[in-house]
Parts: sequence; C-alpha cells; structure tokens
Amino acid sequence: MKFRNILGLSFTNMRRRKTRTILTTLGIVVGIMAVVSISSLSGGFEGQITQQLEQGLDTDILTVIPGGGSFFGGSGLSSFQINDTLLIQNITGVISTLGISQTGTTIYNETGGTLDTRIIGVNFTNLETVYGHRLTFSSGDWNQLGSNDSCIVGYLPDPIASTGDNLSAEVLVRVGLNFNYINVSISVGGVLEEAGQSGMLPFDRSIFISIDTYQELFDDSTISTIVVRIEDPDQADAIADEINEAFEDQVLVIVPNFLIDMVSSVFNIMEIFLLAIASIALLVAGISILNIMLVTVMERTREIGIMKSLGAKDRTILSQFLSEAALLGVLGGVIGIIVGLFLAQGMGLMLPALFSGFQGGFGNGDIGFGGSSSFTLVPVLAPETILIAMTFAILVSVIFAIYPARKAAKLDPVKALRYE
Amino acid sequence: MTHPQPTQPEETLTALFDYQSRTSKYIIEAKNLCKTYQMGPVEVNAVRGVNLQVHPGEFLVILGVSGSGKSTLLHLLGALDQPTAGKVFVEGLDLSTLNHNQLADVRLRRVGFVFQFFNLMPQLTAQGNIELPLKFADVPSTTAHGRARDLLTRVGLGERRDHVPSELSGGEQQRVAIARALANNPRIILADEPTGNLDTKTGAEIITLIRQLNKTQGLTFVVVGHDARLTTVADRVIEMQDGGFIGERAGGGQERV
Ligand SMILES: Nc1ncnc2c1ncn2[C@@H]1O[C@H](COP(=O)(O)OP(=O)(O)O)[C@@H](O)[C@H]1O
Ligand SMILES: [Mg+2]
Repeated sequence: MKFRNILGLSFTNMRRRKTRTILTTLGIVVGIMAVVSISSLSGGFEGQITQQLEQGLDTDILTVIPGGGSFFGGSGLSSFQINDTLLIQNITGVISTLGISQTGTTIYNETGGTLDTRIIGVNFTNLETVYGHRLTFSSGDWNQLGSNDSCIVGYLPDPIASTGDNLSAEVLVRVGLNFNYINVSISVGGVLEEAGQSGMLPFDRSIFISIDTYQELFDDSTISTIVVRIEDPDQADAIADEINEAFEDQVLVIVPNFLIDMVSSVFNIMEIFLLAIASIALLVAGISILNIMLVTVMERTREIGIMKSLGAKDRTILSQFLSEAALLGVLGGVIGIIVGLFLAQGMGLMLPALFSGFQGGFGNGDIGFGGSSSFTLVPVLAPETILIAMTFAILVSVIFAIYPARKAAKLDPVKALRYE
Repeated sequence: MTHPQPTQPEETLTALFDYQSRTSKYIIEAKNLCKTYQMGPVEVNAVRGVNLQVHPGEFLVILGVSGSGKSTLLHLLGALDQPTAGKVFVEGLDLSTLNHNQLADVRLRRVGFVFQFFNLMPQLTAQGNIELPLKFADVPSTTAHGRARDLLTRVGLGERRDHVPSELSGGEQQRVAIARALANNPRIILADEPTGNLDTKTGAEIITLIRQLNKTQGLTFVVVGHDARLTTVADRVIEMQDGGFIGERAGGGQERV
C-alpha cells in the first residue's frame, strides 16, 4: 500500500478517537513542553548573561586577583603590594599593569549635591597606558592630573562636578585604634565620557584618585587587583600561566573569556540535567504510548482481521500502526513546542524577580558585574531545539509502537475475524 | 508458518497462475483437506478429509448446521487459513507452496470474501471500504475512486456512497461488502452465510444479486450457509456435517439454465 494511503487511513483512525488521540499524545506533549520551555529559557538567560559580560569585555585585558586555588576562595595571597605589579610588568607581551585599590564612599560637591560611589586608587600614568585608548575626557585631560590630590570623575548622566571644582569625600579611616569618618578635599582634574566597565573595573560613577593619596589616606599599602594590558589577545592564556608561575599559583588570573566560559559551562551542566529530565519524561511518554497502542490493537483486532481477509500484507498492517504512532508523535511534538513556548514566555516574565539576586553576586565589594538594573528574560528557542524535539517526539512514539504494531501485524486473520 | 517458502517473486506468481489456470480444469480444488484445532487436551476436527472440485463459473452451495465446519472450509479455500493436512489449489496453484505474502496476494486478487456480519471497516464510508482493497493493490487513487463508484452503482448503492456502515441498513452493508469483494476483479467469491444476518426479504434480494453476478460476470461462487433458498439458485448443493461432506445434488439453478 502506498505511503500516502497509509497516512490517510491513519488520519481517519485518529479522528475517530479524538479523546484517546489527545490522551495518548499527552505524555509526549509534557515531555516536549518541558524540553522546549526549559531550554528556551536557559538559552535566553545564557544569551543575556553573556551579553552583559561581553559589554565589559576587553580582549587585551587580564585581571589578577589574590587568592588562587579556585575563584571562590582557597589559600593564597590575600592582597598585593604595589611592587607586585613589577613581577607582571616584566613578562614579555605585557604592555602595562595597573594596581587598584578601592573603597565605598559618599561624595559631596560645592553646592551640596551628594553621590554614593566608590573611590578607586590608581597610578594615573598606568591608567593611561592601560586604558588611555578607551577613555576620553569631557573636560580636562591626562596632563592636568599632575598633582597627587586631583581626581578623575567617572561619567554621570547628571554630572556632579567639572574640571577645577573641588569635591569633598566622607571616608572611613582609622585614627589610632578607632575608625572615624573624616572629610577630605580633592580637586577635579578631569571628567570622563561614558566608558562602561572593563572586566571588574567600572569607570562610570567612579572617582579615581592617585594610589599614593589613596594609600596615605586609608593607611593601607596593599592593592586588591592588578589589571594587565597585553599586546596580543591570543597570548592571554600563555601570559596568565606566566603570571600564575610568578606568584606561585597564589593568584587567580581572569582571562577575558574566563567568566563567559564559566557561565557557558554552568549552562552546559544545566542542559545535561535538562536532557536527563527530558529522557525520563519521554520514556514515560513512550510507555504510555505502548500501553494505549496495545489496547488499540486489541480493540481493532477485528478490523485487522478484515484488512487481512482483503489481502493486506503483514507489513501493511505494521506500517499502518507505525504511521499512526508517528502522527501521534508529530501531534504531540507540535502541541508540546507551542505550549512550551507559551510556558517559557510566562516564566520569563515571572523568573527575573527570583533571579534578581544573581546580578550583584559576582565580583568583590561594590565592583561587580551587570550594570543594568532592569533585568528581563526573553526566551530564545534555537531552531535546532525544535528539530531535536520533533525528532525525539516522533522517534519515541514510533519505537514504543513497534511492539504493538508487530503484534497487530502477526495476528492470525481467522482468529482476528472471530474476535468480538 | 510451517508451509515451505518458495523464492519465486510475486510477478512470476501471476504468470504461474495464468499457466496453471489454463492447464487446470477446476478453479478451486481441495484434496483430502483437514483442519484440526487443539482445544487443550481435546482435538476438534473442524474439517476432515474434504475432497472438492469447483468448476469455473459454478454457483456452489454448501449446506450444514452450525458447527459443521463450513466457515473453516471456506477460510481454507480462500487462503485465509492453513490446513492441518491436505491441499488446496486455487486457479490451479497449490496454496501450500506459497509464502505468507503470496497468500495475502491470493486473497487480494484471486478471491473475494463476503461474511455474515458484513465486516466493513466502521470508520470508512461505503466508497472508502471498496477503495481499501484497491489501495492494498496499489491501484492509482483516481482509478480506485472511479472503480469503487462503478461497483457501488452496480450493487444499487450509488446514492449511499458517502455513508459509513453505521448509517446503512444490513442489506445495504452486505451490498457494499459484495462490491468490495469484487474490487480487484477476482474470479472467485467465497460467501459465508451472506443472508444469515438479514431479514427474509433483504436476504432474497442479496441472493438475487449474487446469482445475477454469477450469471452476468461468470464469477464462481462458493456460498456456505443453511438458508434453504440458496439451493434454489445453486448449480450444485453439497451437504456438510461434522467437518465432512455427506451428500451432493444438483441445485435449482441448474434446472433453469
Ligand atoms: N479457532 C478455533 N479453535 C477451536 N475450535 C474451533 C475454532 N474455530 C472453529 N472451531 C470449531 O470447529 C468447528 C467448526 O466450526 P465452523 O467452521 O465455524 O462451523 P460453521 O461455520 O459450520 O458453523 C466447531 O466445532 C467449532 O467450535
Ligand atoms: Mg460459520
């Protein structure tokens, strides 16, 4: 019998028992729905995080933080000394290094305006050699930063000061054995244009002062982070290895792709987990198809007998049932994909509230990742996910229908005709 | 399957049929046919040692009470069931030499079955039921459609072609079943109590229809049952009892010819 005719009869049979057809596909629908909704959500989530990370990504910048072992802790250095930068500076392929210390503070301008921000201590010369190519001044320039008590003010949509102004900062410093808030005065040597952030270093909203002033002010000779600019981004991993060697593995070197790789690997694990859930769901779906098909074969025993008495070959009966199963798979797959997409949309609207804590989680202190405060999750369904989902829906249906279909095909025509 | 599986492909099977049917005098022949069912420890001899020759174009009626083995015999003659012993020749070909698919092909093209309970596919219309064996035979759908319409008209059901069996009367369903048996142009129709489930008047109409098909188309009929009216149109009547033939006589149809 021609495939088209087999398919036509399958349609007729499925329409005849609409409720059963829907019930049979339910397992497939649930399985595919789970796969599609979770994978499109995780796809959207991954895309978003990667995008946020890439915004602050400079491929020629390495970030070295004390620690070692793992990113999340372990033994090693707790902070750097300023001379530690020299260990890195001497490595071939390194253009320049920048030691950073930072602390949170409140800034006041002359007219009484305030800003909660952070003060970052840097060597201005090194800041220029590392980031000069991406920082532009809206007022002032590198040359006006000669004096140690001038500062650079990061971009603010609503500027707090311009070059030549004086800012006062309320900083918590140690006086004797006590910590006291004191006010310091700094003159503004330059105001930056919008520059976003680089790795863990945010430019916008930050106040940069000279590292000497910083160390004097806070009576702190350590630095917390060393930013390294390299000549060739392809050398990042090799240079990272050399840095690790120089510090005897007591530091953690964050290469540009480190965080993206980490996020990707987290999502890879999620996808494996997802696959496991999906496999179980589809297995259950398959067993339910097996069950219902066995009942269907029993109910249609007489019809099978009739078809055989009319000259239908065993393989015709077999393909008849397999084609019905395949259609069930297509139906379940299509419904599952549609429902799954709606589910993902709904969850995409609800989940961001749950995940909002995630943003501030990275980084140290108030230097973190993710600049935007509005976090929306738009599910992204890859075309290959649809393809894989449909393939599995059909495959599972057909595989689990093989046994009932063979049973139907092998029925003895006389017994089948006598069946009541 | 215990019967041998010859390797001949189905195309040569057709050629073989044509050759054998030219060389054989009988369109159906049964030799020492036996069918035994094993019911636990009990052996039921449904058909025991039947010898039968059916001439081309003959209208043969086999009469017997319920349980005498009529259905079993008919199934054996139509390649629907395999005998425990003995042989069946259809259009000269020994069924015991055919494989599973070739036996299906015999049912598809060489014989048509008509049953007491009509045995129509409930989900298909009258038209669809007749097209089904044509589709099994890979007849192109436009040809199949036209042929099914012709057949429905021929059995007097041209107007009812889009009705499913549940919307048809018993007599109408049996007409559809007869039309379906004719679909692939077999030369043999095997009918198992075709009037058994019909009222007297409708039964008579069906008998008239099949007798007319037998006369006008030259179709060979083997009809089993216990409807006495069958004997009036039969060329030959065989009495069956306990799986064997107990008597044979000319039917009423013979006298009219
Ligand atoms: N599948 C079977 N298993 C066991 N006994 C059967 C089977 N089919 C038929 N028989 C027995 O064979 C005998 C003949 O049955 P059947 O050919 O149906 O007779 P009829 O058609 O004349 O009523 C009966 O005794 C019946 O019970
Ligand atoms: Mg019977």
